[in-house]
Amino acid sequence: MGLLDYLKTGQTLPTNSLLHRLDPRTRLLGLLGLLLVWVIIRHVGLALGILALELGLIVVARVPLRYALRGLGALLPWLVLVAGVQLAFGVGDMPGRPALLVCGPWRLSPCSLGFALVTLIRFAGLALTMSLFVWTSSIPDLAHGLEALAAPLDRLRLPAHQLALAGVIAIRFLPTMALELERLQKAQAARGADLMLDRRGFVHRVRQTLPLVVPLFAVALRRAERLAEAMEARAYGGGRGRSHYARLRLGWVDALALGGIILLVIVVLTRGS
Amino acid sequence: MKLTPREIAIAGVMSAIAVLLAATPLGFIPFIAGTSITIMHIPVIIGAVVGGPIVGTIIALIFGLSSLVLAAVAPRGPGDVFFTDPLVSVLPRLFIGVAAWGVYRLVRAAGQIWAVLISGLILVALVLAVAYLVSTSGLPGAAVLGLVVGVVGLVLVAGAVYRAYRAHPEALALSLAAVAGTLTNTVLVLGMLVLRGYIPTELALAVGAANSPPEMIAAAFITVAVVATWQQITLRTGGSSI
Repeated sequence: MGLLDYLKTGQTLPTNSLLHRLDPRTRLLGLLGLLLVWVIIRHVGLALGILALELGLIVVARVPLRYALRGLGALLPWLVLVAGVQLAFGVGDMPGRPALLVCGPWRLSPCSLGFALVTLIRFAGLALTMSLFVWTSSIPDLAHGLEALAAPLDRLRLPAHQLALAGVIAIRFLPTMALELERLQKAQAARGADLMLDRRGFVHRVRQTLPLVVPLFAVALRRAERLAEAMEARAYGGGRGRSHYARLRLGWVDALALGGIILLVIVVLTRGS
Repeated sequence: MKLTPREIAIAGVMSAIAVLLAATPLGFIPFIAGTSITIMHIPVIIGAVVGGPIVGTIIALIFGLSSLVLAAVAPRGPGDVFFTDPLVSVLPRLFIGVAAWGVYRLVRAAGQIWAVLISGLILVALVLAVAYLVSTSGLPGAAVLGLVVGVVGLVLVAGAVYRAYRAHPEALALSLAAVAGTLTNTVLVLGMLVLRGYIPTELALAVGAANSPPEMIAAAFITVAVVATWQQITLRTGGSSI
């Protein structure tokens, strides 16, 4: 089950904490809010504060802190490397400001240091936010949440329901495609195809991927056509105007969480960027 | 804006392949000296050519989101750090589908000479960029050398595109669509990285110049192979060439 293992990284941790029991729409909107915050933030102190807040949320989600930080630890050497490159090239430096260190044409100023620091915290925050989201959401949850959020967007004439459906189809077909790929690898190997990407020139290596990639796409497109036929036969075109068995209800914890996120976004928009 | 079930299904399934290519080592073809080029954006191109610009954009959105989440949860190298920023991993990708579809339709619809002229534009722009770089690089007689490179390159490209069009218009249309899509991916992603201040401009230009040509070649190969197989167009008389 080689390829399927790659899809297992970052699985849901079903600890049924407060965060897990939130309405999936709240979690999705919370994710969006936090992503926005992390993308625009520039204030070092505020960034550290929000990072601490997220670590708190991880504790609330009953995710073992050591496990959470281990994931971040894998990212750490790359973060340091990136910060190093930024400092070396003086990114984010403003020439008018006084320098801390000067070494020939290269200078280190509080601006470039601050920029590198914010970038470091920003990436850590983004990674943590997404990991938190993945740990607290399950696939059915996500599907319900996306469809529910799609409903109001439909009135704006956007293909929101169809987009949500495409997303759900994609998630559903992931393991299928992975298994299909493994079958193809074995089938081609049994027919003597050379699947080890050897050193005989780049164009040759591209051609070596074709026996796997072309049938994979062919199988996928064929399945898509069959799926489309099935949908048409049942007059199904996305969840627009449909009712569902599982009803989503917003509770007071959701309202609290959403209020907190909105407040955070406003604070960062006005003070932190 | 209504999508037919066929379009939704294609979007979903192509997105699944895109995510699969992003999550497994299959999405990388090793190039020289340890670097690799990616083929994960190709489902976007194929989806756009086969299903239309909206389908392509949906696939691009899901692809971008998956690269965003994967960068955070399962990073595989220094570059992955940057992709935790949605402005880098999602926003630029949204244009791949439109670009690929646009070029595909343009090449197929425009008349013979126009097709050659318009479709060669992308390659011509590249040649001119190389010529410019050569002429400003400070080598002795660089300006003249740049001019020569430019003119020779233009003639070669125009000739090659014209011959390709005469030989097989469909394959040319698909190749150029793939080139357009790949270029959009490279230029916009690197551009966003520079805009956000994550990497210096020189590094972005170097990476772009080094990775673009092989990526475009690989994308063209795979796109033509897949779409031709799917639409059962014969590329040449006589057996397989794999």
